[in-house]
Amino acid sequence: MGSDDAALVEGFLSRGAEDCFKRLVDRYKERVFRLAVSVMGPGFSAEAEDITQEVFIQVFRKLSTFRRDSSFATWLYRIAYNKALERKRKARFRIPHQGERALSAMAAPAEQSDPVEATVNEQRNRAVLESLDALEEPYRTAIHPYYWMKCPISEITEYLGTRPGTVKSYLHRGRKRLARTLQEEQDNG
Amino acid sequence: MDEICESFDRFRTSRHGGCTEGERRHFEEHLANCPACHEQWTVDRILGNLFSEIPQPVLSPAFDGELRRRLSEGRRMRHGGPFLMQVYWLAACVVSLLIFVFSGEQYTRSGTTLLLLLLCFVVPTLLLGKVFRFSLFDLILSTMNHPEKRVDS
Repeated sequence: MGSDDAALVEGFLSRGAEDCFKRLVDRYKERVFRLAVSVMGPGFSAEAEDITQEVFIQVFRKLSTFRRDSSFATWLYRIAYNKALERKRKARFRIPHQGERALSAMAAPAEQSDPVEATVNEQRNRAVLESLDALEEPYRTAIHPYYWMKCPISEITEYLGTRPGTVKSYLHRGRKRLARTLQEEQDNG
Repeated sequence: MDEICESFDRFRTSRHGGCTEGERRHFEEHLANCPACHEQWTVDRILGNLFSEIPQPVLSPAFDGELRRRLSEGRRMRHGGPFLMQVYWLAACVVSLLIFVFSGEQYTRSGTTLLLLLLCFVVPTLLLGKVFRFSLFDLILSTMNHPEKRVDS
C-alpha cells in the first residue's frame, strides 16, 4: 500500500490528477474517521465526520508540504490525531457532561422486565462512560477502537504511530486506571 | 509501577478465540491466583459488554458529496482571496512609499515604521485571510507552483 500511496501522491502533485486524490480519500476515509471517533468517543460521530472532512481538506491544500520522510498514512494519521485532540479539548470546554451524550448514543435498551435492573444498568454504563471519558490520552484512543470498533492491534499501532507492544501496554494501563476510577466511584457512592 | 502480567493477553486471546476445556480451567485457576489479571479481566468484560450496546460508528453516505462541496467552495474562496490580497499589497506598497517620501523623518524611525508595516500589511492580511479562509503561507504558495493551480487549469 505504501508505494501505491506514493504513486498517488506523486500523481496529484505533479499532474494535479484529482482522481489520485479521490483514491486516497476512498482508501483512508474510513480509517481517518475511526481514528477521529476514537479520540472523540461515543456520541460524537457527527463531529468525527466533520474532523475527517477537515483532514482531507487540509491534505488537499497542504500535500505539497508532505516531506516524505514517513509514509503518507503516518502523516495523514498524525494530522487526524492532532485535529481530533484539538476538537476534543474544545468539546470538553463546551460540553462538560460528555458521558450523558455518550449514553444517548447507546442503542435503546430492550424492554426490561425489572425497572430496578434497568436503572442499575444505566447507572453502571454512565459511570463507565464517564470514567472512560476522563481517561488520559493515549489510553482512551487505544481502548475505543479496540473494544468499540473491534480494530486489531496492528491498526491501532498505525493510528498512534507506535509499536504493537506499546499499544498493548496502553490497553493494559488504560484498563488498570479504569478499574481504579470505578473502584473509587463505588467507594464514594 | 504498573505490573504487567504477560499471561493476560495470551489468555484473553485464547478465551475469545474459543479455547479448549483445559485452557479454560487453566485460565480460571490463574485468575483466582493473580489479582492483576483478575482486575484486567473484570474491566475487559465491563468494556466488552458496554461497547456491545453502542452501535459502531459509520460514515454517512453524504460524506463524499459534502467533501466535494467543501473542497470546491474552499478553492473558490482561496483563489479569490490571494488575488485580492496581491492587489491590496501592491496598493499598500505604493501608499507606504508615498508616506515615506512625503511625511519627513517621523516615519523613518524604526518603531513607527514597524507599526506602519503592521497596520498596512500584516493586520489586513490576517483579517482578509480569516474572511477568505487562507493563510499567509497559502498566499506565498499561490504564487508558486502549487497543485491547486494545476487542478483548476
